[in-house]
Amino acid sequence: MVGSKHKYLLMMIVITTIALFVRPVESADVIILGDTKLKPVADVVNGIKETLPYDTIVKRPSNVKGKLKRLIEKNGIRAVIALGKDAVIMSHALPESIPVVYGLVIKPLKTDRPNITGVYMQTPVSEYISFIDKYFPKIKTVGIVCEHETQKDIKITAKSPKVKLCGANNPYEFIEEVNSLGDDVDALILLPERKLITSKVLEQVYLYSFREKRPVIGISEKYVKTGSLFSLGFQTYEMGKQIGSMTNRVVSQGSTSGIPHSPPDNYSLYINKKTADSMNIHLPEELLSRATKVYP
Amino acid sequence: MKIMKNINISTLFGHPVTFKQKILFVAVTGLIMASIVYTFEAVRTERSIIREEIIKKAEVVTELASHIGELPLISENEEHAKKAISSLMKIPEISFISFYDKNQNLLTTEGDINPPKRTHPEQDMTIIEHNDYFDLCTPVFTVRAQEDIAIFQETDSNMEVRDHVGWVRIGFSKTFMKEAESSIVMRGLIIALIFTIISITLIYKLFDVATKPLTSLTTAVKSIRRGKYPEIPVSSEDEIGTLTTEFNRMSRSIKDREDMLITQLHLSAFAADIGKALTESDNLDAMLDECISTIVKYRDPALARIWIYNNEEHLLELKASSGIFTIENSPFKTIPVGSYEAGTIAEKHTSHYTNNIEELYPDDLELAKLNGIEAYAGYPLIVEKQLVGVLEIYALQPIAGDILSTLEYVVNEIGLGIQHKLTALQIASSLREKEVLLREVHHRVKNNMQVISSLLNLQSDKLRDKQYIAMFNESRNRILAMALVHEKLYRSEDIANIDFSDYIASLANGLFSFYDISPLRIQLKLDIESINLVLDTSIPCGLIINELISNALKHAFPDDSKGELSISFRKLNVLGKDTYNLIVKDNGVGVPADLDFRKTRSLGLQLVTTLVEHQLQGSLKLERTSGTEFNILFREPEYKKRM
Repeated sequence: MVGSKHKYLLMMIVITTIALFVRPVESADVIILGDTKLKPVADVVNGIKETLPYDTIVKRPSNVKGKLKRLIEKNGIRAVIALGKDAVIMSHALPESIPVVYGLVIKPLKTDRPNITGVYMQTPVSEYISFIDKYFPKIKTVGIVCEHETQKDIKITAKSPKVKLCGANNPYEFIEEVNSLGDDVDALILLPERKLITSKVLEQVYLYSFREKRPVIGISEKYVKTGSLFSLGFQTYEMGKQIGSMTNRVVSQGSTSGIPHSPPDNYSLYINKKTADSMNIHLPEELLSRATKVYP
Repeated sequence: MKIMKNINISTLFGHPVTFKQKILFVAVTGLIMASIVYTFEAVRTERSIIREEIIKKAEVVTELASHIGELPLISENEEHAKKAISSLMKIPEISFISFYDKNQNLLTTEGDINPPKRTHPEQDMTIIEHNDYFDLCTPVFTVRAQEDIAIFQETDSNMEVRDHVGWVRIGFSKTFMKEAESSIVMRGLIIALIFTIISITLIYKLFDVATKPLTSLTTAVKSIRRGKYPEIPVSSEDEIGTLTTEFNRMSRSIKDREDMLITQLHLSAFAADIGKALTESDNLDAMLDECISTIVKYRDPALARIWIYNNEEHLLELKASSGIFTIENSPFKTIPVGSYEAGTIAEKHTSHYTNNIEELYPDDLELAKLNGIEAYAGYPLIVEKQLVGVLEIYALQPIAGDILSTLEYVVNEIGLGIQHKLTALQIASSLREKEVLLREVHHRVKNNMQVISSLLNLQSDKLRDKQYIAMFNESRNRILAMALVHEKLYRSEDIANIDFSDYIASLANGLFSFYDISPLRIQLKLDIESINLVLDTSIPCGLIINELISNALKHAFPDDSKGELSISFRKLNVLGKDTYNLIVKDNGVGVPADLDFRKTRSLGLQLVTTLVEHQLQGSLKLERTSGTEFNILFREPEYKKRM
């Protein structure tokens, strides 16, 4: 026979156990998929939260693998923000009714799904061309070596007579193409081509650059540090805010309709003065004053 | 251990090994062993380090090659591969380089060695060591970003993906390692050799310095053995310093003792020479000359002289002098007692020595100054409180205490010697006087006896009876025989003894003459040794011979018959005692057979018997076989001194 005193005790244990193992239902409008252990991702998430007026939950893609759809349905999620390649791939499996805003991918996604839009990281070649036109008039021709697919996009988006485009399928071809540019170009714009840009390729590119005194332009601060003349790079936090704004529009209208894939709104200018000096390139004061950072 | 026990380093090639050599032997052996061990260990360590360095270098080169090979392997392009290989082959240690694609197919290879097939590692670099090279193989990866953001920003390695694109295999030659090892071994050996030589030199120098005091001590000890007494400078306060100090004390002590011994020996020799001069010299002057010569010889004064005190005239007479003055050129031969230094010393009976010549008497001072004299010492020669003389020394240098001691030591001896010689002179003089007196007595006795003989001769001239005349003549001959003894005595150099051979010849010739016997008729044969007899023996002996010769001349050859008379006198040794044998023999008619010479009424024979048997206490034997022979044996009696 169990006494009344023991009965209460048993009940207390059951309640405590339930309280420990049953988690309350997360209520949010937007779910952010991204590995926030990575600092750039965390910065972007902070930017999103800064501008997005909805409740958000943040999940690492590896934690919600196979459970994303149920999680969205269960929590009444109205939009998904996919940060990074894994998150974007995961969001492709979602029904088209759920709008997806991506971020932290290099180029605009080539997809036929209408519910996906976002902000990509690559600075458009046109930005570099206009920048060169304005501040480096002596640079008459720029070379760009990229994947063949990218080559087509550039021909469309940055149609300029001063751009000499070359296609490459692998790093070896990339280097071959770069070396073949020779005196034909005054500068080389480096694009973030994952298949082509390896450490060895970069070494060869810089060798070409300094041997031929042809400045390399791009891709980000990281490359300016190692020898690029200048770069126009996005800022993670600002990009987060841009994604947040885009998501706000998506949630407000309930779809991604009319919202195009966008490059970053803002760029940070980084300049390597030593590279400029070694190549006898004049850096205008205005340019220097605009720079986020000048590496001496 | 047994071997160690058998090692004996006390001798080397038969020569004794010094302490320094023993220490050097042990130190050098230890050093060489230490050098060998250290060199061996250093070479082993350096070889190990070189090996590790070479392997590390090979790993670095391989790692570099893996980076250089990334592009050729990604692109699988042979040109890139050759370019990469050519850049790597500039490293001299590389024997070969091979690139393999991710399916382990050989893409390209270059080098001296055709590498054997081997299993390629999956992840990490592996090394297989061959005789001539290290075979290193490492996978080559290419790195690409996992996340797109990694292209733009510096992120952690989690965002990178490593794709395996192939392998690079490198043969790393051991030639350089072996050359380096040989160089190290050679260098190690040279350093060990230099270290050993320098260390041995330093140890030798160190021990030379350390044992220098001991060497100095050894040399000093050898010097002591040779009669030198060096003192070694004390250079430290340690045990060696203490030993050196004690050695110096010992050296000084030995020197002092030897000096003292030499002084004593010198003094003894000096005293012995003085004693010799005092005892062996014939006369006073020679003795004093010898004494002065000995003083000059041992003490080398400028002047040494001895004055003898003349008691009668109360003055000092110079008897010996050597140095700047001899007796011959001395300005004074005598000085009065009380004058000059010597006279004052004689007067006061006290010695005087000084190194300050200003203290001398003016006359002596003048003499001293003229001759560069610096010091003076004078001693009275006193025996039994009686002054016998003065000894003076003038020196060109200050007289040291030991010289004074030496002189004081011999002064008394010289005094005694002088006294002895003076006494001996007095005795000799006295003896000479007595001898003269004795000779005079003997002369007078002889003269008186001759007077008696002459008186008897005169008296016999009054006689007519031949018997009485003969008696008178016999008496005369007896008196003359005795007078001849006295004559021989006073004529003799030795007043106490007579050369009896000379006496017998004189006596026999005298008797032959007295009896007018021609030597042609009776031939006299003398066989007489040179024998000295005292007066008390000579008188009876002379009377005996006188009686026997007279008897033979009177009775043995009657009627002017011819014959022979022989006299023999010899000294014999009978029972260890001197015994005299007198034989008087003639070949005449001989004595009658019935004649008992002891009972005859002949005074001559009675006298002979009495003198032989009673006075000389000898024996008398008569032989009558061919003529007559009287054989007498006697010993010289011991006479009482007539004092």
